[in-house]
This record gives sequence, C-alpha cells and structure tokens, in this order.
Amino acid sequence: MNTNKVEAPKWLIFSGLVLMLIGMMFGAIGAFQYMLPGFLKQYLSFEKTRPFHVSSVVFWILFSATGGVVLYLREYAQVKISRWLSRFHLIFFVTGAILILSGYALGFFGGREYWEFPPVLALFLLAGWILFIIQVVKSVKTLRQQPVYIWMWLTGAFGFLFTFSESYLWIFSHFRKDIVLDMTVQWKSYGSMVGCWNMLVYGAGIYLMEKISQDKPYARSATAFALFFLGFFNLLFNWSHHIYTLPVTPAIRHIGYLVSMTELLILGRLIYKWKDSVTAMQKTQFGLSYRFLMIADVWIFLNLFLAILISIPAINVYTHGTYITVAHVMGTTIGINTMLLLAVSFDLLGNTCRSMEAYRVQVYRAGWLVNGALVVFLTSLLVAGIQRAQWQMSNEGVPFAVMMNSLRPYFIAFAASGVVLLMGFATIVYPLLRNIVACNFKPRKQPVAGWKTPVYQIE
Amino acid sequence: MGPDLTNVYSAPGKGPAYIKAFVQVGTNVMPAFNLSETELDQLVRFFERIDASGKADPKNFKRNLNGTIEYK
Repeated sequence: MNTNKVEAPKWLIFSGLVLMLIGMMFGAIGAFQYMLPGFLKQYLSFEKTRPFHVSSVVFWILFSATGGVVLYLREYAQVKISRWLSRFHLIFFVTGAILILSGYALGFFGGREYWEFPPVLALFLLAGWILFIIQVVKSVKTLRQQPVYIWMWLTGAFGFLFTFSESYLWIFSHFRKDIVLDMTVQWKSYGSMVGCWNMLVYGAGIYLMEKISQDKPYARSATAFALFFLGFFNLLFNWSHHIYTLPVTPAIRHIGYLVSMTELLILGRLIYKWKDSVTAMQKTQFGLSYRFLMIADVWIFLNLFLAILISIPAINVYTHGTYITVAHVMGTTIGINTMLLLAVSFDLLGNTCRSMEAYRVQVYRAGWLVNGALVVFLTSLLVAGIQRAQWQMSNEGVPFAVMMNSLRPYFIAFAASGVVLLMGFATIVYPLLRNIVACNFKPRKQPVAGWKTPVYQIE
Repeated sequence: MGPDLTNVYSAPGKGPAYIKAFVQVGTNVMPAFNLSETELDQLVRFFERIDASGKADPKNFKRNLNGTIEYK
C-alpha cells in the first residue's frame, strides 16, 4: 500500500490553496487600484479584479472544505471512499474554476456577486457538489449517535445545495421583476449559503480539535448539540440583518434582530471557556495544525463580537454599505475560515510523504506576520468604515469623491497590509504545495514524524 | 465600494442625463462603459425602477433605544 499517495481529495485541497493565493493576489491588486485609481486599468480593470478575487477565495473555501470533509469522514467512519466520485468531484470543480477565471480574463460575465460568471458555468459547481453529497451520504451509514461534526457536515452539504440553487432564482423573471423581492431572495440565499459552508469548515475544525485532544465526549455532548442547533437556527433566520434597510415588512427585521442576538450565547460561552481552552492548548503540543486552530479561536471571538454589533438594526443603519461590513467579511474569511482550513490542510497534507519539521520555524514566523498584518488590515477598514458612516449620516453634503479622498491614508494601510498578508500566506502555504508536488513526483518510502494519520484503502 | 445609487434617478441635480453621461465618460475609479443608446436607456429605466422601490438614505430611519429602526 502506498501511504504517500496523493488522492483526489488532497488535490482538491491543493487546488484550494493555489486558488487562495490567486485570490489574495487579485485582492492586493484591487486594493492598489482602490488607492491608485487607474492602476492597471487598461489591462486589468477593477470590474475584473473584484470577481477574480471574490470567486477565487470562495473556491478556496469550497474546494478545501469539501476535500477535508471527505478525508475526515473516511478517517472517522473507517470506510472506503469512492475513487470515481472523488475524481469527478475534483474534475468538475477544477474545470469549472478554470473556465470561470478564464472567462473573467476574457470579459465573460453575466452572474451576480459571488458568482459573477455566466450562469451556465454554475453547472460544473453543482455537478461537483452533488457528487460530494453522494460521497458524504455513502460514508455516513447511520444517523444514530453520531457526533456533532457529522450533523454539521450533512447540514452544510445539503444546505449549500439548496441555497446555491436559491441564489440562481433571479434567472426566472418572476423573481427579477420586483427589485425588493429580488434583493431579498438574493441576500437571504447568500447569507444562508455562507452559514452552510461555515458548517463544513467549523465541523472540520471540531473534528480536528477532537483528533488532537482525544476529547471524544465533547462532540457528543448536549452543549455541542445545543450550539449546533443555535448555529443552524441562525443560518435559517438571521439573514435579514443583510437587508435591514430594504423596504420589507418590519417583522422580517425584528426576527433577524432577535435571532442574531441569540449568538450572544455563543459569545458568552467563548468568554466563559476562554481560560480553559488556553490551558488545554498549552498542555497539548500538536505543531502547526494546533497553532492555526488557536489563532482561529481568537479571531472567532473578535469577529463574533463585531457581527453581533452590526446585527443591531440601529447600528446596522450606520454600518451598512461601509467598510465595516467589509471588515466583517474579511475578518471571518481570513481570520476564521482560512485559519481553520489551514489547520485542516497541515493535518491532511502536511505529512503526506515528507515532514513539515524543516519548515516549522518559517511557518511560525509567517503566522505571526499574517496576524499582525490582519490586525492592521481590519483596523484600517474599521476606521475608514466609521468615517464613511459619519459621512452617510451627515447633512453637510460633502461630495462622495471628497469623502473618499479623506480616507486615502486608511486605504494605503489596507493595501500595504494586504500585500504583507499575501506574502505571509504564500510563505505558509509554500511548504504544503511543495510537499504535494514533490510527493507526487518523487515519493519517499519512509513514514514521517508527526501525527500518524491512519491509512485506509480506497476503492 | 461605490456610492449608493438607489435614488440617483430622482436626486436633485442628477437624473437620466446625468446617469448616461457618467456611464459613458467614466471617472478615475469607474471605467467608461461602451454602451449603446438602447443599453443606456435600459440602464436608466432600471434606475427609475429601483428609485420607485423606496428611499435608501439611512438618515430616513428613526433609531430606537431598544436597537430597532423605523422608517420615518
């Protein structure tokens, strides 16, 4: 048996890591275009840079989360995974991503927000996702006495299929003919869709935490399930904080407000458990994966606090359409999702056939660099957002262009820290990419030090 | 992140001619879109429709102490 074999789910994570770097590169270019209007306008205008950035980063999350869940399910359930399902899942996703990004380069658009490509290309993602669901369902033999992460993965897998389809309702004229209905459905689907992929990512994080700490009872405890149902409840009903300012019935706003505030229970628990979790972390040394889990823990706390604040309608009126919302999105995507998925990536790819030991110091240092840059990055967005919020509520009639010009110092800090983030993440990801490529072409026979991942056969 | 355009159609000093000129000429931060007259008309009709959907100015909301908001 070849323990070093790079299988399709690992290539999915590998592709996700490459897409993350591509997404960050376009994010950095976009930040410079924001700071220096006209920068690269002739060759790569902002209306191309933005979808390149957004779609690549969303693909990073989807590719690595689905690849990680398939491998963790196999590890947990001790089952064989279908090679063909995995391969076609990979082929559909990678082909879709290549066509979509090439289409952007050539100027083929026609979609919306996360999916700005022509809707027909969404069929590649849909096909890959259906194969992923079949793989998950095949691996989960029974629902009885399953830990919370299995429920999270099932909820995320089926929920994404539903919300992804819902996000394309706009192609039917019935939904497009009323702008308020159109935007409500659009943001309802996007809000819930993010909740669905978070279920996959957070579930993988909980599984990894259990694997490291060997604390099996937690994922089967009443507390874990209570928090899961709270998260699921929020996924279903708190989306209306995206559309507080739309002229919808007030009941929608009130429900969104009340449900969003239930997240205070999660925040409260985090604060309560903070000291314990830090102590546990210090006791357990698990290398790079554990470091990224620990970092994600801090960012979860900070981002949840911000998310709850901006879910209060009276505050949301100020922050909606400002860089504070951008800070919330960037904070959760980089600080939480990316850190958790990097923990998963180091666990699953890190020791595929070569040890990460030689890169440990390099990755630790880059980790500090990334977190320092992320603090500057988010602070500049928050301060710019506060200034823009003041402008929105002011009656002085200062022109938009003048207000934007006054935010220039924050955009400089934002762009500079964005470049540092790109460099830091490239340093972190490089050993993983190198490992997989080298492993595939020059496999070594000796097992490596570190976490001994059980080896299972595939069909 | 551009300005809110929900009510650009009815904003004082703006309106259909302003929208068309802005889209055709562009700015430092927005490219000039090479749209046909028909496409420009369709775009203006779209702005007219979203303008009719309500007022987007956040100053139109009354903010209550319990955190809720009401349209003034």
